[in-house]
Amino acid sequence: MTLVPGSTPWLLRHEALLYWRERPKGLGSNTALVLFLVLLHLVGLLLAWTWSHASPLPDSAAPAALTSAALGLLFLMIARSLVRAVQVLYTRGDFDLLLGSPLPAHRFMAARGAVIAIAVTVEVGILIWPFANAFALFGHPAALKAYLLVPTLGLLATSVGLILTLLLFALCGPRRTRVIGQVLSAIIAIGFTVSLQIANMLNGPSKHGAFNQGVWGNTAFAIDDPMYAPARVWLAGNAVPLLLLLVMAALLALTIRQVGERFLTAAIASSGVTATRSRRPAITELRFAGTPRRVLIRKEIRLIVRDPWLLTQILQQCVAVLPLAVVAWSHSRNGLPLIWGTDIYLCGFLSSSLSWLTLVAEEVPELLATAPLARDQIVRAKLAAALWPIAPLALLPAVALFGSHPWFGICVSVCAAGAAVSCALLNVSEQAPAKREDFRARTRAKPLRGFIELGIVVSWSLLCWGLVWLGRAA
Amino acid sequence: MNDAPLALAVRDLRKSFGRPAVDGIDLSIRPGEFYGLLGPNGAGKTTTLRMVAGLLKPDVGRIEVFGVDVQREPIAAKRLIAWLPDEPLLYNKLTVAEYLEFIAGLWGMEPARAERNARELLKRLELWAHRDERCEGFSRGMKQKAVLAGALIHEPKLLILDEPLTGLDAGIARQVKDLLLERARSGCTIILTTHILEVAERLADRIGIIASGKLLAEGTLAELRTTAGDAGGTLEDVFLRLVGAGTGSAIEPASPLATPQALPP
Repeated sequence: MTLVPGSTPWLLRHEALLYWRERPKGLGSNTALVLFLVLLHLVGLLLAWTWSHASPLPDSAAPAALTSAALGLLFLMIARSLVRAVQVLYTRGDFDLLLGSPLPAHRFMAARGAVIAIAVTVEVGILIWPFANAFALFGHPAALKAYLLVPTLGLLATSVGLILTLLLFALCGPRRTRVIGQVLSAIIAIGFTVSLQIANMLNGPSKHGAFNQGVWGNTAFAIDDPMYAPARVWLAGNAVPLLLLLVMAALLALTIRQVGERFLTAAIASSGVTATRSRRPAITELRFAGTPRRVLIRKEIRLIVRDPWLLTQILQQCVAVLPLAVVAWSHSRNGLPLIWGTDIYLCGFLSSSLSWLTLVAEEVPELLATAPLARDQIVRAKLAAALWPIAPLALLPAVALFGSHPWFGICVSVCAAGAAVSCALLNVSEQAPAKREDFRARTRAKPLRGFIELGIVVSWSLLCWGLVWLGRAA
Repeated sequence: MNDAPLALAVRDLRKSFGRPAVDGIDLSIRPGEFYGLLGPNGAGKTTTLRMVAGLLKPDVGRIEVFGVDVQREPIAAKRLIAWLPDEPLLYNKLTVAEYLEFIAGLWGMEPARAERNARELLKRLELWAHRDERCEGFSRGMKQKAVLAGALIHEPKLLILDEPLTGLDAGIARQVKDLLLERARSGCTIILTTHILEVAERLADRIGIIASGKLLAEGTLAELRTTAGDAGGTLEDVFLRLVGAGTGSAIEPASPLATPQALPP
C-alpha cells in the first residue's frame, strides 16, 4: 500500500521504522524474538495446564487479581511511556528537521504519540499475550481479552506519560527533566511492584498460595469495594472492553491535541542543553599529582559521579534488589539474618555495571591507545576504579555481623567480593567499545552475558550458603 | 654527515582494508620540520598517520620515530608522539584542568613541570579563565584548543595533527596556527594534514601529496611546482595537477577566468 507522503500514516510508518531500528541488537533480532515468544508460550502452556488441574479459585479472586495486575501493568507502562517521551525530547534531535519542513507540526506529534503508545503496548504485550494464548487453549477464552486490555492500558499510559513529561519540563526545566524523568519512571515501576510484593510477602507463606491472601483475596478487601469496579466491568462482556479501548484512543488523541504544541516547544528548548550545568569558573590553582594509575582511577570515578543519568541507572539496579531483600528478610532461618545475602547480588551487579562503564564504555579510547602505557596497566587501573567503590559494601557484612554472626558475616563478605571481582573480570574480555548511552541496553543487547552474570552471582551465593552450612556443621 | 635519526622514517608502508588504503609509502621527515601531508578524501593520509601513532598495525613496512621502532617498542615511541585527530579526544565531564592533569599523568610527567606547562598553555590559548569549567559546555573551537593543550603538555617531539583546523573560526584558527609555528621553531617536529591548502602553503616547510595510498610528490612548494611543471602556480594548482595526473582523473586547475575577480560585474 502506498501512503501519501507527508500524511499522518506516512509519518507514523516513518516513526515506527525508526522505533524498530532503534531496538537493541541481540535479543531484538528476529530469530531471538521468535525464540523468546516460543519460550514464553511454552511457559504459558505449562502454567495454564497446572492452573486447569488446580483447585478453583474463589469467585472473588478474579476481579481482585485482574485489578491488581492491571494496576501493576498500568504503572509499568506509564514508566515506559515517560522514558520514551523523555527520549523523544532529548535523544532524537530531529525536531529542527521536522519543523523546518512544510508539514503541520501537529502531524508529527500525532505520529510520535501513536508510536509511543504502540511501543509501550508491544513491549508489555509481548510478555502478556503468549500467556493469554496458552490460557485460551486450556479453556479460558476470556484470557484473550488481554489483546484489548493491554492496548487500552498502553493508550492511557501514553497520555499520562506525555502529561507527566511536560509537567516535569515545566517544573524542573530542560536540564533536569531527563534525569528526573528516569528517576520518576524507576520509582513508578519498581516502587509499585515492590509495594505489591511487600503486601503479599508480609502475609507470610500459605498453603493456599498467594491468591487467597492479602490484596488478592477477600480477607483484606471486600469484593464490592469500588476499587474492583473496572475489573468487574471488564469481566462483564466483550462490548465494554472494546468501548473502553476506543475511549482511551480518543483520550490520547485529545491529549496530543492539547499538549502537542507545548511538547514541541519543550523539545526545541531542550535541544543543545546538556543534562547538567557546567561548573562556574573557580579560582583554584593547578595541583597536578598523579601516577598513570592514580589519574586513570580518578578520571573513571569522576566521569561516573558526574553523570546523573548513569547514577540513576545504577541506583535503579540497587532498588531492584529490594524484592529479594524482602524475601530474605521475611524468611530468616535459624536466627541468621539472611537479608545480608542480598549483598552478594548487589556487589556482583554493581561491579558488572561499573566495570562495563570503565572498561567497555571508555569515552576516548584513542587517547588511551596513544598513551605510553601497556594495556594491562590500563585494565588494572580501570578494574580498580570499578571495584574500589564496592569494597565498603562487600566489607559491610563482616563488620556489621562481627558481634552476632561472625562466620556468616565473613562468608557473605568473601563471597560478595568474589562475585564483584568475577563480574568485573567478565568485562575485561569485551573487545568492542560501547557508548555510555547504551548502558541500559547492554544486557538486552547481549542476553547471554546477563545470564552468565546471573550464574556467577548465584554460584557465589550457593558457595556462601555451603560455607555457612559447613561452619555450622563444624 | 649528520647521524641524528630522522624524526619520522617510514619505509614501504602498506595497509589494506579489503582494498589498499596505503600502498607502499616512504617518508623521511627531519627533526624540527613542519611537514604538510595533503591528499583528496580517502587518499590514505589518516590511515598513514594512525599507523605512525600506533593506533593501527601496518600490514607491511617499518616506522621509526627518532630511531625508535613503533612496532617493536610501542611504549617508547608513544612517549615521543602526540596525536590530535579531527574530532576532539576529550572527556566532556572533566574540566580542562582535570583533563590536562589526566594527560600529564598518563605520560608520567613530573607534577611541577606539568603544572607549569599547563599554566602556560592555558594562558596562551586563552583557556585559563575556563580551567575549572567542564568541557561539555565548550564550543568546538574551545574543545579543539583544550585538546591541543593536552597534546602539547607532555612536550612531544613529534606532533601529528589530522585536520586540526576543521570547524574553527578565524580567530581560534589563527591562535592554533601561531602556537604550532612557535612549537616548530622551538624544535618540535609537526606533521599536519589539511584540506585548507592555504594553511599548508603558509605553515609547512615541506609538503607531501598522496592519492590512492601512494606518495605522488614531496618537497618544498618550489620543488612541487617544478615536479608539476607549473612554475607560477599556487599550491592549489600544483595539488590539482599532481592529483589529477596521479589518479588519472582529469582535474585541471581553475583558469583565471573562473576566479571571482575575473567575473564580469
